[in-house]
Amino acid sequence: MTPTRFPLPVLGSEPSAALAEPSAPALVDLPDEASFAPGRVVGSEHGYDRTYWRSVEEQLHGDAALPDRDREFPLGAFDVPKGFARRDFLQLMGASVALAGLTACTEKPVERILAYTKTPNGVTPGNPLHYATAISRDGLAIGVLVTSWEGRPVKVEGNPTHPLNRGSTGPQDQAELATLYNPYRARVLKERGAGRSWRSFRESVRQRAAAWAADGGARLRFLCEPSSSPLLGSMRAAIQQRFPQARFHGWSATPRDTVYEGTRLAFGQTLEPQYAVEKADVILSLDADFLEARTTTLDQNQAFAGRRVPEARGGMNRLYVVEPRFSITGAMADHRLKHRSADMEGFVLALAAELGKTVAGLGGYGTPVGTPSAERSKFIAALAKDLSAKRGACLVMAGERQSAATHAMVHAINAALGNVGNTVTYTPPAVLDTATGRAGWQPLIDDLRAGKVDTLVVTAWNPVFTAPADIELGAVLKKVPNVIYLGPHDDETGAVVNWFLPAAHPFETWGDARSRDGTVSIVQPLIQPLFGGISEVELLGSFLDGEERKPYDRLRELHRSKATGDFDTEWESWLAAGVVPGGTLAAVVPFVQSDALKTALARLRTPEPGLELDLVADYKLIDGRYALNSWLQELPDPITKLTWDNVAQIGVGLAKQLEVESGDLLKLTVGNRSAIVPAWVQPGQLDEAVTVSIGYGRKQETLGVIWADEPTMVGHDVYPLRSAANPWFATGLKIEKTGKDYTLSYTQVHNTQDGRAVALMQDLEEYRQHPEAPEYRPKTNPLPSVQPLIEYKDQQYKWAMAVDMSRCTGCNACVVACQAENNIPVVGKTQVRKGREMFWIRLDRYYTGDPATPEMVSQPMFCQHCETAPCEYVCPVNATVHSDEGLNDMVYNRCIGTRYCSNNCPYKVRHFNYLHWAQDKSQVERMLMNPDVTIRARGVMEKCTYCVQRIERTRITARLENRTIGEAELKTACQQVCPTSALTFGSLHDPKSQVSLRHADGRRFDVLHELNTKPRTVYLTKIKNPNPELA
Amino acid sequence: MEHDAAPVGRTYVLGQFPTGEALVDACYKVREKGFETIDTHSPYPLHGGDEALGLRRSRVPRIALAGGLTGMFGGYLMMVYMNAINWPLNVAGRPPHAPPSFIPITFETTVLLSSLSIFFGLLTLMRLPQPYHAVFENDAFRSAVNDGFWMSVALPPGSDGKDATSVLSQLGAKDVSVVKEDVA
Amino acid sequence: MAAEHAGAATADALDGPPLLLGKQDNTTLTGNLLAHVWARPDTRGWLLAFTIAGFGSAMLLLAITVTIATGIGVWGNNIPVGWAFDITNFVWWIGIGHAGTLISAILFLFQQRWRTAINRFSEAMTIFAVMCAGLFPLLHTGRPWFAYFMFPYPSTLEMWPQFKSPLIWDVFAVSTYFTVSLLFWYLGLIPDLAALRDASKSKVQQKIYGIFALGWRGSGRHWHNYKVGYLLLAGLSTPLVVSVHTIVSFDFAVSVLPGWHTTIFPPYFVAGAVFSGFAMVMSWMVPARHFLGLKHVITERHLENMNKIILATGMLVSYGYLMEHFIAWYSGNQFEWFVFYNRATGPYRGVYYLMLFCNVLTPQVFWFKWARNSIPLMFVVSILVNIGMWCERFVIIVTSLHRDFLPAAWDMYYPTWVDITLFLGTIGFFSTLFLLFLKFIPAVAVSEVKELNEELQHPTPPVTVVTGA
Repeated sequence: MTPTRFPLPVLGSEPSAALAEPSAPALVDLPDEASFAPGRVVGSEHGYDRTYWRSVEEQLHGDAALPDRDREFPLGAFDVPKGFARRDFLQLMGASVALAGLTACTEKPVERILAYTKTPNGVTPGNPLHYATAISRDGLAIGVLVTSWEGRPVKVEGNPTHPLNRGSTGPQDQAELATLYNPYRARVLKERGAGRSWRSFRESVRQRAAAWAADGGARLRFLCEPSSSPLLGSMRAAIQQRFPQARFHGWSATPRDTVYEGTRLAFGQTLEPQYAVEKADVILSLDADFLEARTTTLDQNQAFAGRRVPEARGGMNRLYVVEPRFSITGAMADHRLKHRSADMEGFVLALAAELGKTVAGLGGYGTPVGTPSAERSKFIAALAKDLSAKRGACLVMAGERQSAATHAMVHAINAALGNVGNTVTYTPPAVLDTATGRAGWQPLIDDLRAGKVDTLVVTAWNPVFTAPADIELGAVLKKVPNVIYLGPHDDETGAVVNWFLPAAHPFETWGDARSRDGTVSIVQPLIQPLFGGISEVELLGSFLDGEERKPYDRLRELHRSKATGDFDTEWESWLAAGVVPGGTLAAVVPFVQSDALKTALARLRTPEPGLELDLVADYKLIDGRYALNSWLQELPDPITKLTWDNVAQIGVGLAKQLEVESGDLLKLTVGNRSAIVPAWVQPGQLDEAVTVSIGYGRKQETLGVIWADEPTMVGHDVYPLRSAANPWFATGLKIEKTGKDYTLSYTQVHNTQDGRAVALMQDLEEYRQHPEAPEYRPKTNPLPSVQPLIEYKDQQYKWAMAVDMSRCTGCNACVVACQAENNIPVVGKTQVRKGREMFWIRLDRYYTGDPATPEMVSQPMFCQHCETAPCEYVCPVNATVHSDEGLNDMVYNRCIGTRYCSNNCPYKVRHFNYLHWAQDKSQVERMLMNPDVTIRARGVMEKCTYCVQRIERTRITARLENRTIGEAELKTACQQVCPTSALTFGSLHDPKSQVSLRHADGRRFDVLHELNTKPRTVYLTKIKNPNPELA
Repeated sequence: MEHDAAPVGRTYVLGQFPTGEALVDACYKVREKGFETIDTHSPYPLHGGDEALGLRRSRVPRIALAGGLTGMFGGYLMMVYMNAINWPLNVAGRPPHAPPSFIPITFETTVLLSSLSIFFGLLTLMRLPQPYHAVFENDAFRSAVNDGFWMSVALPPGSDGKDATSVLSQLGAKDVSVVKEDVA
Repeated sequence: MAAEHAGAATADALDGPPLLLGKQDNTTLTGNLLAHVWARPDTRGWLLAFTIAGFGSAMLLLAITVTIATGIGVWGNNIPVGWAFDITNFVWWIGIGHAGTLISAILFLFQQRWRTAINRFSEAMTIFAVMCAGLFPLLHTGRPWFAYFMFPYPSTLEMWPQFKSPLIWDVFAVSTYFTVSLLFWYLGLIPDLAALRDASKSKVQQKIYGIFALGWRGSGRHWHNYKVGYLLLAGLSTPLVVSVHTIVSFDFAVSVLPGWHTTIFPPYFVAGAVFSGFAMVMSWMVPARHFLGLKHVITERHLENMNKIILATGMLVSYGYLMEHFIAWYSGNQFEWFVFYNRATGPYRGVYYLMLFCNVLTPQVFWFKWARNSIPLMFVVSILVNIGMWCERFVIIVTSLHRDFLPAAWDMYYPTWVDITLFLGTIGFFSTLFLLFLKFIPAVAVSEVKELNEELQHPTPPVTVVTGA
């Protein structure tokens, strides 16, 4: 292969290097790095991958015009990075196709690349390919399939063959692509603000390496993102081998330490609890938000939902939740007790004591501190009865926010109830470092303070921003001679380090990861690094001796041993399946060391009464790493329905007492630390506690983004309220009203059903006694009509949908999936405030009952595809009409935008392009668009299409194979991701299809049935399973 | 209708009368004298003017009816063709040919075409617009549309109009004059 | 002669003050009815008014430009409130456009002599109001440049309009109404244009008016057909007037939305239209008759009759309100009932109560004769009624939309500066056109007044408008 044959002219003078290297840095020249760098970048030099640097150098010396900062909308409409001329864009495409070839892993990628001009095997222009890879969070991975168009990843879907998430994903996983294509990602490798090359960085490391070799790396430290990657593990080991004195510390703003400390306390060994929720008849969650769709909990979502329907095998499960805030899990609970986090240990002890009366092995763990409320005692009594009745078939879980003692007690209780081995098993943890909280980094901080460190390598995400206020990490780092930071953005941390390295996105690099159960997946790149990012593997590699080695080679070498037969064949099959066999962790059977535990518990101190501050990981931004992800920023919070902001959630009673209303800016003070946060009166929030989610309030200047209509930040930063001692909650909270107001944008202004039968909810008993449906359920009450009904009998398919509200947790995964699949624009905080959000799926959230202790029902609301659609007959231009198969089609290019259809839609599921939302998209962001779906113009109505593009694609395949479409092969985007299988889609002409069964289900009802719109989307009543004793 | 408008290219004898009644009476008398091609000119319709001129029933109503029927059937059939025959679509499960929904537009097209035919029918019957007419040759005639009541007698070719002039003068018409159409 | 004159007046169907003041003959009428056309255009009052109105039109132009250039997003509309100021203004203007044709057509058919003085005036108002109304259906679309999709033009794609949609009915109704009103108005204008032509001293005016007069020479043979044609047009306009606002009401009545889906809408909208139309005529006539010196033609008699009609239609509208609320309660439909509950107690209740005050309470003063004859009072009332009717449309459209079936979809609507400018702008545009009309065209139907004058002086034989055989 000679350079001349390579179709990407920008590549360097040694194409072989660049080619054999799958994840070579970006092949494009970016005229305006400088405009994205915090400071004016000065100087540069020649170095690795010369062509790249030559072009950048030209840029750095050229006049880099700052992008136009004045935008009407926030993130939704980023400034256009001028870095991508059309030519470069095509090169990118070419480059990434090179990758598409490589991911299938031939020894000669060149041929695949060449094949882009001819048609390569596998790559058919216009037909997407799916690549299996993995996404990690908290170091734990799930398997995903990424849809790639001519080498351009546009959609993330769960990998059905992955044992943990089995095809489902959470909102963040769906939104990863918006992070990948974020034009504000860092692009320049810098030393103290000056552009440097990767080679010069390696050079500087090599120079220092001599010194480290001398003292065994005693002055070398690593601060790492939580990871489970065997590759990284092996590299750490190698570095340790080279510099025995060097230390690796874990860092996470959402540490899972207490989980492992808990097992250490209870069993004397560090273990990972693996919950078998599907086996549990009774579940108690102590602030364990296991129904939030996160990489750590997706399997539990599925398992729980499987037992949430009346006809479930083994009967319907019952969920008790004890928590201070109103969480997704709390919203699904049959019984929910509002309870301070600080008193959670007291609660467990009380529960243990109560259980101890009937269950052996729970005596003597000490008596609950303080005087419990009557409500709590009643709750515990009923709960204990329920649990002990279901020994071996019940489950107690504690949340990561709760103390190690709580976790330990939970393990003890599970053990005593005989759940270990049944509903919960224990395995060694899959993560590399089980201490990512204080236990992990405190020694490092001490060393830094003591000046014992000269080089600190930070691969953890933005520790300066996420650090507890009292350790003043920023100040500490400034004192360290040489800090190296690998980060996606040149952020708060980047501002205080010597070396800043732009990080490559996981979709841009080779790697591997394990999920909670130990399953190993290969992380394969989907695209060349867009902005010349560097992967953690490459970074650590530079600390190992010898010439640079490709992560790809390291990876293959590491896994070569796992092959039982021909490695290359198996390797390809692993890549294809997305799972490397034999990774699953074997369960161990631990025994409670009650004496050790008792002594530990004896040290518990009575928590001081009064107001408590509860910090929680945000449902959207988690710890703030997604602050620049416009999809997640605009995504309505599952509970509050807020967009673009975090708030101090205040209980109804407390709000009344303080005379606070939503939107009042409050000053929260804990000890000597304080933060300003807007108030939000949240039904179901404990009055003795205020809940705030972390991760907001990133300063613009640190992000290189201007949100024209926002003050200085989106949301408010509450990390200053964090203490190293307890990152999650603190008592002694003081609230002051500032008297100022703050404008919040939320997507639902009215929170109750107003006595209307919209989202039906029944108790299990009631449902059993009256299986015949309420009058608004169509089967019992068909409405007369003067119209001849169109039967769709002669059609091959009769598309329809069914939503099981018993399963739906309102986790938001479907909303983002729909957004990704259908190119739904982000409109920004101001427009959301005006009621113009564009999400095709609206998760309607209704509270019922007493505002202090409400029940919640979440109802996904999207186009119902009514057979007698009110929207259609009012359209003057036939822009919305029915398809033969009963889809309510929207003809964008015929639509003139009278909005009459929306006015006449009883479900208000149509959305109007009031402005040209897509016009400010940068070239990078355009790569995110799904080519199967039209970008809607200004002045056009849009709505859910049942993913008609997917129907048609499947239809083509089916026709080619001369067969009918099978149920399994056609899933709408929302249905595909749903962690609880609440959504089903299919043809009503197939009597055995899930959707047909649900349409025939006793719980089925049509929303607003009385209008006789004959919706194709129907709902199944939400069933709750309360304990009669607590009724 | 041979009487509808004075034939072109002729000469006219004009005479002004003090009031509308006088003009109407004069009409009968002049016609008794055998002048059929006469016309009156007044700022507003004269009472009994039509009878005086011996005009028959107007044709306008029939024109209006024709226009109306065209509009009615045309409108309805247009909708049936467009929505039910040429391109039938399943719109909200309604039948493509939905008579009740077609009524309003049918009514509107009826009124529209009927009105248009009335207006343009009128112009045709009245031979308007006709910027020039012989009677405008007489400057005093300008009062005809304001406060004057005039009679015009169209003369047969070759007639010098002496007889008509005398008749009008006998009937008490003021400033009687002969106007010739300026054919140049 | 004066006595005879008075006698003639009282002989009229309606008694009260005379229809024409003072001894008039054709010459004097020609003189004083055309006088305001001869008056030099730099009449101070007129210029001042014209400047203000012109500024309004300019603002309208600005608002339209902003809207089309940026998108409907510059308005306050959202989901669920897809229609707000735009359609409110449309319905309001269309309503105002109803008085003209009603007065000139229906009163003509009923041979109400008092109509002659005001029909020209109100017909012009109809045409200008419909022009303003027509703006909004066009502007409110997201892509106005594709508005032609709504017309059944022969497209190669064979994409046709969807004739089940009330919006299409609207397109036909409004355009028909505009065309017919224009023809009717122009037909009535021809003799007066001729009068202007021949009464004018200036050659230019003679030429211009001459062109529009089409060479009218008051020929008896022309009058013969003309009278029939005019009568027939009047006959056609009468059901047309009723149909137009009926169809406008279908925009709402045909939908499923509570507060819109109401069978009483057609009659109730027509009554409301006449109500607001007469009010608007009143608001303009009171100053006009003063400034144009038409008091002898547009007498207190006319004003009083109009006030009676305002009272009558006002009562009809009030009855409409009553029925809406009653049926909402009587139907037992919780959605329906909530809409009206929300109107009275919801965030937009202010507009609702203003509507009730203006439309239900204020017209009641016209039960008293002194009120019907008090010029300042009737002016104030007419303005209030105009405001009230605008509020009615706002209440119907916005409060029904902003809280409909699913509580989760509820939201609020707040107008932006563009919304407001568009509305005020149309008022400016309307005034501009109207002032131009007053300047260059006789504000009353001269030839008809002359005819009326003739009749009043020679009552026998009573003239029948129906002529022919």
